[in-house]
Amino acid sequence: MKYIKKICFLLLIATNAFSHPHTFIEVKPTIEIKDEKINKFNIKWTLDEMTSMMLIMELDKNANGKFEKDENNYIFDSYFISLEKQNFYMSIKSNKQELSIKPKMFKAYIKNNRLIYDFNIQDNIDLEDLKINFMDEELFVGMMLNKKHIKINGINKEQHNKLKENIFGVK
Amino acid sequence: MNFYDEFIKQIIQYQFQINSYISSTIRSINDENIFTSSLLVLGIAFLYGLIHAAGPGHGKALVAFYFSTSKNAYSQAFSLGYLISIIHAISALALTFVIYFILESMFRQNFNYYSKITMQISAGMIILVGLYIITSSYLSRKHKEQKLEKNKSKYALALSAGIVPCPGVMTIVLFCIMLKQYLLGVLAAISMSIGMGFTISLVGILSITMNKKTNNFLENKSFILEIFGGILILLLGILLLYINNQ
Repeated sequence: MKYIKKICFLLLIATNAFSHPHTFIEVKPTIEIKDEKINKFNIKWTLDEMTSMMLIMELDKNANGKFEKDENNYIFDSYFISLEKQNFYMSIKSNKQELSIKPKMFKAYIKNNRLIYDFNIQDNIDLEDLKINFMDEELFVGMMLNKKHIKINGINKEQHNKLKENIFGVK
Repeated sequence: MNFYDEFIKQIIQYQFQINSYISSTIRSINDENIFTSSLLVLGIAFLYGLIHAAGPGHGKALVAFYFSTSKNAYSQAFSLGYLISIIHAISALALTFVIYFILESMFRQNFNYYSKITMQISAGMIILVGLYIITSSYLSRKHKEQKLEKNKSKYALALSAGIVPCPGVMTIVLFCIMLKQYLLGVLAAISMSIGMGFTISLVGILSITMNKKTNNFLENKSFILEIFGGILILLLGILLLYINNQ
């Protein structure tokens, strides 16, 4: 029994991941609902101030406080698209099927010293058994979702809280 | 969501809040509030280190493997915990200053590149420490434990775990450098490493307590447990090497 306890303790410490978050992303999803489906799905990632400053220094090559088209393309190609392996830190299960995220209309910009990634993902997602989770499995990035940052359009306001809890798991 | 997931989520939430608080405090520093704000930053950095080290990490796993499988005094937990965190912070400080002032731009890409290299070196060293513990425990199974040899493996373990620069420390130091708060950056790194050292030491103390109970049961066969610890450290090194070669 003592051995089992010891092994459990060791596994608990070493388990799951070998890193902890060093970057934090505030996730702000906006969904538009029509005919029991998500008609439009927009996501904004706001990176923490320290990471933003580090990346802005590197990515805003002409240091004019905004990203031009070539800089935007560079961010997409060099940084953003590589997150495909992690499914863009998202898990969407609809009708018990895991969806592979397909981002489009990517735009990076700077607001209040913070780097923001703004993009849409595929629409036409069935609301049936829909579960959406934002998480980096490797725990290198902390994905922060606050209920007040979730916006739902296309349904009555009374249904918002219930839907936020059912879909995003926030209370 | 199970207890462990909830615990990790809560730790991440605290870190996010502290991270935001540190950055806004550093940015708000001016000539009038420099003393009080700097003290506040150092206090928060200590707290950040304390919580930062509470998340999963290979340093704590190594400490747990090491102390739960060999006889040690409680003071050893503090000495190993602080050795790891000091090396972790020095490595982060050195790499941040080198990348920022020598390699200048492309901080993020350079950081990822050098982090991967140090992680591979660390994994290789952990494998060697694991092999050393297995061999020395087996060879000295009939003798009293030799303090010198134990210290050797302890220092090697601290170096192998600590050599990987702490990205959390690097981010704060770089943020301070960019805001021309060089001294504050170095002090914040020291403060954060004191916090991390405390948490890692606590893991060591817990492991030593468990070890004392188990060793009473094993009596003179404690070398078996030491070999088991060496095997766990070896496996952890192999796993880290595998992850960082993908």
